[in-house]
Amino acid sequence: MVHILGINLPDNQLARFALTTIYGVGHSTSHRLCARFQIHDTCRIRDLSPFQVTALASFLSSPQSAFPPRGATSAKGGPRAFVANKKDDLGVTDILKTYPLASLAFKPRPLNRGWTSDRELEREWENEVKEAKEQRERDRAAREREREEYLAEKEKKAKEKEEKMLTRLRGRMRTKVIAALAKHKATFKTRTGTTVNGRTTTTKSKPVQPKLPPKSLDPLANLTIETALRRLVRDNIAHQRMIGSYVGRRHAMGMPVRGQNTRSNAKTAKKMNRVDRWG
Amino acid sequence: MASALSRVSASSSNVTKSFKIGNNKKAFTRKNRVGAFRSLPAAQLNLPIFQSTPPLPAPSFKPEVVTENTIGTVFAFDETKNDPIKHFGTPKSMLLEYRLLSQRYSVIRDITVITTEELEEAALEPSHQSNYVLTGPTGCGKSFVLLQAVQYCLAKEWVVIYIPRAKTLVNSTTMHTYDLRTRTYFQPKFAQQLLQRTLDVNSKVLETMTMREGVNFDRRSFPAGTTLAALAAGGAKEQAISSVAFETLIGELCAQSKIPILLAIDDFQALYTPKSSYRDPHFSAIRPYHLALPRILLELASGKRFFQRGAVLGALTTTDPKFPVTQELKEVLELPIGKPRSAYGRRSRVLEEYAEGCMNLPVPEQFSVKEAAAVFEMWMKDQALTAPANDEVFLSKYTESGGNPKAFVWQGILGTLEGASPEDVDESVPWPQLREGRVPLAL
Repeated sequence: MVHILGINLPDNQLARFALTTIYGVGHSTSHRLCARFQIHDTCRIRDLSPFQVTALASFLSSPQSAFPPRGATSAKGGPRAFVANKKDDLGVTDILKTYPLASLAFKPRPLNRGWTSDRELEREWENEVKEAKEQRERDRAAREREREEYLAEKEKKAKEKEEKMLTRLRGRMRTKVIAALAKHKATFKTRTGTTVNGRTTTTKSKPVQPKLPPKSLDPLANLTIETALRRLVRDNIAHQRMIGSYVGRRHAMGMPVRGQNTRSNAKTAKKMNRVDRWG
Repeated sequence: MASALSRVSASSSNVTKSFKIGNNKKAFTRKNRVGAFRSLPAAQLNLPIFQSTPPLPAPSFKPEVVTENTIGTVFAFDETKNDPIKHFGTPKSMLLEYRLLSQRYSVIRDITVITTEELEEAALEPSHQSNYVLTGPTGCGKSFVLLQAVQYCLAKEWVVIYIPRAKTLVNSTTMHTYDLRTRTYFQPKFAQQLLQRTLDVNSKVLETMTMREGVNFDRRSFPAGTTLAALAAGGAKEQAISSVAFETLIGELCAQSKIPILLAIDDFQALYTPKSSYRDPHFSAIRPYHLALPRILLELASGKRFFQRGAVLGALTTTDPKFPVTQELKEVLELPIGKPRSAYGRRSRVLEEYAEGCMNLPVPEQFSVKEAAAVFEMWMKDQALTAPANDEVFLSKYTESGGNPKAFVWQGILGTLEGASPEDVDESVPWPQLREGRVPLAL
């Protein structure tokens, strides 16, 4: 018999199912909770270690203030300090700290060299992350330099070609071409910062947007359960009543709120719907 | 089969379960429900239909009997002290069959002879040259051939590690914990059980092998010169060190060249599943090569790690839709790929690397007539069917099943309602439908 948040969980039950008895935790949240605390799918309550039970209980007692999990990274592999969600262009990042997963060529430190503390291994991993980041920076800088050289070369060739063309022209044709080229250049955005139409622009600069604070992608970060959730539900209903909405009125009358039939079958609503609703 | 019932019930230890469902709550427990065919205790088998003379025991399966001359002969696996069927277990369908049979029979097929010949060659070569995978359609007998190979090697005093249900490693049914040193997830309970089973089956041979280098685990240390049996026993006793003990044991087995090793894995394709059922704390699926035990098996199966002498033999299971045979494995084994391949189809480069080096050992999809006849006779002696054991019945079942071994046994023999005509028929009763059974053929 394990007690979590005052709820007694029977020993024989699957942990993933037992957690759904908590108000506000359904099957998907329960699956995520089990993953967070490394509880496998067929783990029974009696198989949970004391550490897992304590961790679960302390997490559920205040989910908002719990630390993000110190677990392993996702399958993309490679050393990373945190996982950036590439799908989201707004810069929403996953702020959970990650630990490494063995790559194909990874050879673990042999055991007979003595026991290594976790802190030393973490430091090794952090060094790898730092080195990988520095390497990425160096590669990016090298790529940029190459691109700069290539574009400079291209501009130089274009200028030479233009000059060669102009030397062949004479008289009115020459003036016309020079004027046309000047007009074209006035509206053409060059790579290096040039004043065009009174505005200095560079192709590299982007309009500066205010950075949003990083939101967590983890549903467990904003988990509301038990009393807090019931309070939330009650507050929502009270708000509806206060503003005098249809929803509020229906709750007050103890009738269905969402447009169901009342000629027959409104029994649950008559039993449960009220302004100070419990859950 | 009646004698089979009594024999199995007499020999098995957890038998006395009454089938009075109302009184007995344990009748519907998971253990009793798995696969049915739990035998009644001998004391309850009083009726005349259960009385029969037990069949003569079949000859024992030994390495010497596996020759081309014995193809189509039935042999039985003996119940020895280090019986792999008892200690390692078997796949579920084989388990159910052996619950029905009076002895653990199997028939020698041409693929058995081929496999044993390959294993004989593998005994002298490193295992990366002998990474075989038994393939074939559903029910063609891959698991049986694997079991025969296990028994063969055990009798030849190899060290045998047999994993009959590799999908239990990846379907999130056993405890997992992250380890920072290896950067993988350990499965301590599975490792503990596997060490215990390996020790039970191979204790005699493991006693003769010693560790080259000492190791120091968190709480226990094993100095150089400790026997591998002691190492396995230490790991089997303490769950905390079981995973590292297993890793060390494999390391030692790979380093020694005195005794050949057989690693036999059924449900082989489960190791190549793109995502296991485990989830990490971020809720992304854990890959099988990020689980410590499957990683070791994958490394041995691909030749990245190898035994100095021995082989790795796998058998695919085609009946599990949760763990189908993946593209990477199908390409390496040159199996027919069902749907047209797309250039945009998702592939795993890591799994492709781990599948390299696997060689296909195709199991014929049909029994030959001789093999089928031997199997038919074996079931008839165990009274699986009350029909007379004649050619007509045999050929009709063989044709109906198309020679497929599983269909021949389960749908052909066990799934049929054909029975022997009753002996006492009262001819004087005027209405045929009132007589017992039908009129005998010979009037």
